[in-house]
Amino acid sequence: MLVGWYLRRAIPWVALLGCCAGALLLVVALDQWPTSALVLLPGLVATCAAAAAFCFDEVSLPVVEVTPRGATWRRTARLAASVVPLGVWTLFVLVDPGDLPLDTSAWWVVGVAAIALTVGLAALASRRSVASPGGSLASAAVMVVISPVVISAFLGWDSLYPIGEFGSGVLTFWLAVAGTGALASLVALHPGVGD
Amino acid sequence: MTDIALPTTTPASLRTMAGIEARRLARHPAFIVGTVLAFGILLLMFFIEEKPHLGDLMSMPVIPAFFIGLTSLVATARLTRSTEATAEAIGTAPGSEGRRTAALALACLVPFAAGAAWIALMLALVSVDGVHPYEWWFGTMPDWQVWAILAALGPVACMGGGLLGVLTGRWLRFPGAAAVMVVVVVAIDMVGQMPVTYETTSELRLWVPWAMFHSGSESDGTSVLFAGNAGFYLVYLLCLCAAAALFAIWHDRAARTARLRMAIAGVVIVGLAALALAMTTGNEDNHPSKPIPYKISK
Repeated sequence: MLVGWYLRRAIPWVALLGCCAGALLLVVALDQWPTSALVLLPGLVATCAAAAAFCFDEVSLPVVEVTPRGATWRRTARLAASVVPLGVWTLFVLVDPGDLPLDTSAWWVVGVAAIALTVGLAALASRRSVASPGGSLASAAVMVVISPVVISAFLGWDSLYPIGEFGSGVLTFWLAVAGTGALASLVALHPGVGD
Repeated sequence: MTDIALPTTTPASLRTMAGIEARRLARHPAFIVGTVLAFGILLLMFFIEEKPHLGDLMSMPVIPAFFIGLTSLVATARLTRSTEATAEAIGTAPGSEGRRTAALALACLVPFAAGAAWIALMLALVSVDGVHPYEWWFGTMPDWQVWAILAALGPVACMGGGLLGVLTGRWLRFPGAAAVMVVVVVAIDMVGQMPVTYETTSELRLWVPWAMFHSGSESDGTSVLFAGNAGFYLVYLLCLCAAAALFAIWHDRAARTARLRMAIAGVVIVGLAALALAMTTGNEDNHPSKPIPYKISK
């Protein structure tokens, strides 16, 4: 109950839900123009990851850092907010806009991995007393998620996205991304100096 | 602490402020990473290419447009907001808001220069091995058309990204606005042109801020040069850039003079005329090239 009260006031919901709304617009576009899936699907992953970047924005960080409840409780509570972009992404994968012949479980893994890494990095930034990592991290997440589309097209490398089949190399890559994100979150939640 | 004495005369102080903003932009991590990636990918393409010549040259400016243009968007949006944070907090910032915006807009010549350098390096690398005689390039299409496509989709697109960042920083105040804008630009670009590019109405794609003029290689070894007039498209993009800068300056109520209104009206009229001419003149249809043997997929 207290966690809900805290999250309702502490999370920048406008930014987080704004990114989710952007993802919703991309879903509508994807449903309308499925031939653009090559870019719109990574765009969808990017907007959900961007939404997750705002989970740890804390404008009053110097003030709340010294409250008795402590940073570990605060960061754990904020980690729970990442369920929102994760849920939005899962919903999109289940809806399958455009009825594309996609490996839905593979795309789900891709989105979860991107969101997990973004949340983990945001949590680490929060641990290092960065008050609002969301804006920078969201921009970086968007660029990093979309750039493989451009790079693989020109260098002739295999796509990092499961447009065709989900090869074992690509699966390993995304599992590693998800693992890195989980590890970063664990490190960030570990009690440290002042917690 | 560094003291910076700003000259009192208007053009000189604007030049000084633009110089300061240009240095801030050139040192911004997002811009540096994007520029390094753009040049790195070009060099990688040149050194790992197994075919006799570099190909699909007219579509290659997507690399600087993406990596330099979009990272400039992120960087200039943050630079714009950072100056305002000072003004909001302590009520002091150099010049008026309109002047600061104009200085930031002038600083977008930095990504333009980076994009121009990228195109220059590409031309130098292409000259090493030459191009296949059937490639869409100088010799198979008019020189002015090649230059117009390279300029519009390379340096001008890079500058446009920066200016869109200034516009975003001025008008959109929610956190993550730059990230949302990056996705919006990419989505509009794809959705706006993919459905019509290969149709008989291909020229209708030209309203988007980065329109393809070259398809990339097809499986039969051909590549398509798309319809439309690249020269007027270049003018249209320059008008979009000018409009972004002017609308960003418009955010400052004190700067909303009759001169600024006239300038905005002029840019909109010229831009719409250029777009209409880009769609109605130049190549009437999409032109496939002759098949290039080593590009035919087995």
